[in-house]
Amino acid sequence: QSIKGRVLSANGAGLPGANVLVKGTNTGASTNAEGGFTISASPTDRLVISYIGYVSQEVVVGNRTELELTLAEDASQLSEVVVTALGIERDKKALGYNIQELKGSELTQARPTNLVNALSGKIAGVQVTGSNGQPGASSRILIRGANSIGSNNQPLFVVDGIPIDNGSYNTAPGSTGNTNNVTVDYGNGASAINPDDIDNISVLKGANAAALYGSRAANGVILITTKSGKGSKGLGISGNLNTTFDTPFRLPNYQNDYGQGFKGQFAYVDGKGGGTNDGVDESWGPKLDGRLIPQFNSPVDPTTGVRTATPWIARPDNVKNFHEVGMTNTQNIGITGGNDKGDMRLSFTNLYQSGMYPNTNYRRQNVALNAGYNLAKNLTVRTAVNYIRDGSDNRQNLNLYWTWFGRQVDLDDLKQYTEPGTDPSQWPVQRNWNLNYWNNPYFALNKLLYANDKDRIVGNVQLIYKPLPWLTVMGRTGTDVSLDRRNTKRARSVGIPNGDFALDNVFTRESNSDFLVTADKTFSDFRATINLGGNRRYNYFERQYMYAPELKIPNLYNIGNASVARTNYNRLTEKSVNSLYAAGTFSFRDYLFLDITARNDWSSTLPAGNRSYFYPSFSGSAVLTDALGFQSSTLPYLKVRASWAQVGNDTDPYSTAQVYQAEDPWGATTTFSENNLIYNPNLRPEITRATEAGVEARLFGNRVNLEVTYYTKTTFDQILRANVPQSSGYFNTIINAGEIRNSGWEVELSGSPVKAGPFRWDVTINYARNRSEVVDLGGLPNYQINTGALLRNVILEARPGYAYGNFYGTYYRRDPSGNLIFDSKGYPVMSSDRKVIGNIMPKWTGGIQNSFTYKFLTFSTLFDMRVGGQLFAHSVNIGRYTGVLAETLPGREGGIVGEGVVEIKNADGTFSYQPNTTRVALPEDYYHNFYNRNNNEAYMFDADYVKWREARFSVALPNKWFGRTPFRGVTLSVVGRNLALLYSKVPHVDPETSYYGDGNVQGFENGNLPSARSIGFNLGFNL
Amino acid sequence: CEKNFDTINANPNDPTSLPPELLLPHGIKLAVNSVQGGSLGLDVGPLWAQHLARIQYTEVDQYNFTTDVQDTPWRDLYIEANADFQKIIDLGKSTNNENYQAIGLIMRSYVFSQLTDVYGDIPYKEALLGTKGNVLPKYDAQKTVYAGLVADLKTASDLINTKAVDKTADILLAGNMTGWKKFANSLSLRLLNRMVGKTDSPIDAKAEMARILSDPTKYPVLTGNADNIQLTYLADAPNNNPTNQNRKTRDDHRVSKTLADKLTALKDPRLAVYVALPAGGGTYAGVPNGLPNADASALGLTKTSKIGDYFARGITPGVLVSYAELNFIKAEAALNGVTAAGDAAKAYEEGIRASMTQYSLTLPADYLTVNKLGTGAAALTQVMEQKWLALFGQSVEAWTEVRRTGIPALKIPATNYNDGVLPQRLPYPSNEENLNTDNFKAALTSMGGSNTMKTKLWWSK
Repeated sequence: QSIKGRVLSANGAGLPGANVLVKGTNTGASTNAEGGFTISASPTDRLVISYIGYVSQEVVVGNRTELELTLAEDASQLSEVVVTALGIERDKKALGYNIQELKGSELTQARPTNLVNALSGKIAGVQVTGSNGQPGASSRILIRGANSIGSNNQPLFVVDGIPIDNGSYNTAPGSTGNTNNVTVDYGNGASAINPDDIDNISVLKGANAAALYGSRAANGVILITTKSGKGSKGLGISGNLNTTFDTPFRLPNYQNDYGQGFKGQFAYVDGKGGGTNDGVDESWGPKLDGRLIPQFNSPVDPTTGVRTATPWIARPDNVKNFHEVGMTNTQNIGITGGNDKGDMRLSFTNLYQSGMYPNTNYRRQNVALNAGYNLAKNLTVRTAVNYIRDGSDNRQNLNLYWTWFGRQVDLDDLKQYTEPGTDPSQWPVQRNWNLNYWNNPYFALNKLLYANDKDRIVGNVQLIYKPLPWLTVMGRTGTDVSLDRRNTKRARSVGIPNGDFALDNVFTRESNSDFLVTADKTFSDFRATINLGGNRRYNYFERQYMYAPELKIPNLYNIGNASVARTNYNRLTEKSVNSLYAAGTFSFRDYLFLDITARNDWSSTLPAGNRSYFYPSFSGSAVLTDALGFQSSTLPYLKVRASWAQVGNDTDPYSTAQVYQAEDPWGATTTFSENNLIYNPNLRPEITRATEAGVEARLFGNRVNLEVTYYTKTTFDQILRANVPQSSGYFNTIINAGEIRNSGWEVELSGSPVKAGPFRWDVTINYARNRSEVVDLGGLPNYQINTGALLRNVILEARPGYAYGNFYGTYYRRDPSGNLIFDSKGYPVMSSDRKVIGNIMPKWTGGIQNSFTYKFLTFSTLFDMRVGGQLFAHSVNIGRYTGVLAETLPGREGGIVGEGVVEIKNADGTFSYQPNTTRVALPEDYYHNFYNRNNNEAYMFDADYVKWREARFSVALPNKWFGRTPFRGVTLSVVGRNLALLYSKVPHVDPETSYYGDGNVQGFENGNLPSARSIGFNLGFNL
Repeated sequence: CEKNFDTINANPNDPTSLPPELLLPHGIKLAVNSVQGGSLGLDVGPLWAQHLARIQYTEVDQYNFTTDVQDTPWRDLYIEANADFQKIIDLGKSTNNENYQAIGLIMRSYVFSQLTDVYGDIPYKEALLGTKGNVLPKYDAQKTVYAGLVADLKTASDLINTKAVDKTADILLAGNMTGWKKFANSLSLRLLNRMVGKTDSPIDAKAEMARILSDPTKYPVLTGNADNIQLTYLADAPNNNPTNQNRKTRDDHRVSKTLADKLTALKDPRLAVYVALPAGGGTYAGVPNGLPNADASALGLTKTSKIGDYFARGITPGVLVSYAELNFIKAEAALNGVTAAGDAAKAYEEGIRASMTQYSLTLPADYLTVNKLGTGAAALTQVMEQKWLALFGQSVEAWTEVRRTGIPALKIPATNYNDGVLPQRLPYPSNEENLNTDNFKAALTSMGGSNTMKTKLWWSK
């Protein structure tokens, strides 16, 4: 008879890859990704179910046709197989460096849309920063701090052995460009990988683990293995349905006592300054006491055109109610099949997310195929192909909208965003509370559209040949190709005189072909594995940008409709890197291990003489409990490990030859300019050296796992685009200089404090502390990281002697005891110079994950935290400047005396200090000066926080409940992400945000849509 | 392993070499835009010379501004304009075209003169050597810069010959090399006029003026409004007049009460060109400079005068040196004893007439009688006041002349962030403070002050 069954681990999750064998025969099956299996056996047979690291079980078949059983972990043989560099699966105990792995199920638990966000808080030393709550927004991931002063610091993403592109290409190109104070976030490349298709993720944290990946591995590697049909027999279908609801995680605390205006006065005529302070976008106006004042929505007498005054009242929830409940719907179906000749898995996922701002969205469809076939006894072909289509109809993000605002504004009444009776075939005429600086927010969301559509294929084919039992030859080729078509359509509005239109096509291709020969031989107590390989990489990038700065015919978005000269731009770059590498693994009695790797790269981006660079790595580990034989139930396992590695890195294409730059033509006259950058014909590769040592232990009968790692890494000879004094005629220069050092501790502690019958409590704690120091910049005093348009002129920089990522700016002058110094008018005094006023890097980060299981019920929860570092919270200081935030109420009536001192110059030239007693009559004068927009210190806040990151309650419904229906392995869960901000030193806004997306410029908040609090429902099942 | 790598790494997007004329339009446009546009041309010059006033965001009118106001002109003039001109000089030499060398030298001198007038001591001799191995240039004293520029302009004027220059690339003078000579010598006169009477001047300014003024064949200067050195902008973005572009989306500026009242008092026909009638009706109404935001906005956007329509057009030229200005230079020089400058009154009257005809206006019959040039200190005041009126549209130049001579005496806004004095310079940009620290400090020591707007420049001491 045929038996269908499912093998579960203690926490109720399906165990993929477990063996099911009919005892005494060769008939067997492996469980699929969800733990399910099908096997034929007779009633008298016994089935043996086994899985590495678990206690095997035997069951008599009897008359059962269905079977569900739970395997217990085997304390004595905790062997953990992890995926290492080049996709080589190895026993974790043999590794001389830290690798942390996440199962696919852990990623999908809390249903983040962006894969990168799922890593937050779960892995020691990994710092994830989401940009904002916009659907499809990017996230940055940093492992063990920043290595590189000027170039990309994010890890390499590898899917099924092939590196993929994680770029965002957010910056609009061109000399004139499509600016108007809007940064649009098009998401990071890795976010398009569908979590439902991921079998597991290995995080290779340092150069030590990743040395074989070469150039790009210095920042670590995220190795993604997608689900396959390996081990499945017959047909298996699994499905997942998910709905998630998003609400703003945190909104500012506004004042509701005073409305728009200055000096307590306001009256609306045209919203442009024609009335009394009606062009003002600040809230220093009349008290919101119901007095009658003409407002934008007051009725207008049709004959006289005069507005009838209406009550001036508070709208405390105007901003909150403007946000809608965002919704994400995901449907996934996976089909697996296999027999002894081959296996396959095909999956389709559809995701649609509507944003918390009206008329914003993100959509994604993934089709994934993963298949293998045994062409001959010793020849296998495998392929994995993922087609991704994603995009958005609108990624509009109302930067800073609610900080320059009138608190009395009834936003509901702005839904009618055009003046009634205006001709829709012409440019719409806006109706708004202010038409001097701002668009109606509904107008902005409906008429200023930032859309994109991206098609992408990530795929590879490989051939595996095993001519001899100890010899494997693998050849593989793969590519990641994408075309992102972006367009921006903006109607005539504030700051855009006649509407504009931009088309931006971004094409990227990365191709990799590699081979690997593996020899694995055992000689009595010794075992040696030798890998020899090579890789050929080719990158191609092309961008075409067309911009019509003003349009002739209203509402016609065609580049040909430009009424002034178009700005066009195109660029293509190519790069090639060839590599040869070798790795040897030597073990003795399965408790002493030594790894040696060597790699040589040839990069097209470096000058001929410096193109070739070689780097080695060494690592070793010893399982002391085995080697010294002191295994006990208190300490069943103890391993020590250490490693040293070096990795070289190249640079961007075309860095070596001085070129001129194309500029906007003067009418029909072509023009170029001297480049602002000084190129360098003598560049050398930059080098990262890393050491790492650690201890891994299991304690108290395997109830507690502890892994402690200490690492240092130094990157020197960095290839920098260093700023130079502009009087040299140039903005920056490419040089080899500088040294940056990171060192830190990582602790991962996990255990099961309670295991009582069907009840089980598991805890995982991770902690990471990183110290970064810029050691040297080759004689430069500092290196500016944010080189574009600066936010309030604060500089984000690297400076010798400090951690990477200083904020350098103006500050409040203080007396020797730290009191603010006030001037004779009663205003705080700002410094005339600048200094280091903050830093973006946290001192430490950590996470605590708890999971409680009772039979088929599981509740798990994750808290994570960050201590140290600062955030430049732009909207907070501006909100204080404009009087919209709650703390601007003191002094509204009768003025205000600032708390601080005045500086008095004594006859002998020294200074003494006395309390400030000068009263500033007008509150706006006081707050404008106290929160001076040029005073960078006023924007600085400690970025510490504790967040309740995830919670999940799930019910694994017993199969017997479904009787004869085809449903099996049904799991229902309620999941939540970003549930609460338990502690934050930043007021009003989410402390974890990034205005500039996922690049190196971090630590800036600019009134973007806050991240989302998501609560959702998930239904998973097999057929 | 590295086959094709040289091909792969050859930049397909950007040229490694080109003829000098391809750099000219960008260099000229950026040089003129930096002085006519941006914060320098739209705010600092017109507000601080009290040609215009702010009616919204009045901070910059109270001498309170964000650091990009001081950073941007430096950046654009050095790395956008002057890096191009330096390259044009180099390419002119290597291709043996003296005329491109001369154009590069003249434009570079114009840009250096603007930089030193705005900031004081600046990197000059060691500037622009980034690709030649010096990225940390020393600063030169303003008097050294001035003397150097006079010499450079003479070199340029002497270099000019009959070799062809691309007429379309020369967007300033359409390849008219005599025009370039006139530009060089007129600009030289502007600089020399400020050196007359300075006892520590490195050169004999009077003699240099005489050299130019007494030999019009060898050293021609502007002889009429047709000779004005100006960039005629194109109608549309991105090549339109910066004021035109600004007014498309912003409405922050009004004509200053100081200027509107002066023109009204003089019954000056230029009033109708410089000043627009309020949109809401009524007569010309200037706005006082530097009012608090609430007070300025209370005056009403529709009840106050914007800049005259002529100046808000896309094609309105950006003027570098005008015939009117040259006459006022001669008038002042004559008053200061430069005999080659001729008769002061004649030059003064010609300057007024030129300023009016520049805007196709007719000089009212009694204007020169009512405003007849007096004698002594009063005469200098008259010359400088008329020059201040004529420099409307060249407001950075007007600010320089007000700083240098104190004429006209401007009323400093009650709310101001410079201790009650007119800003004497823009502070050096943070880029120099951060990266060229030693030379930056040495320059401040040499100028005798800290990096503030109060330090007086050499020509105003």
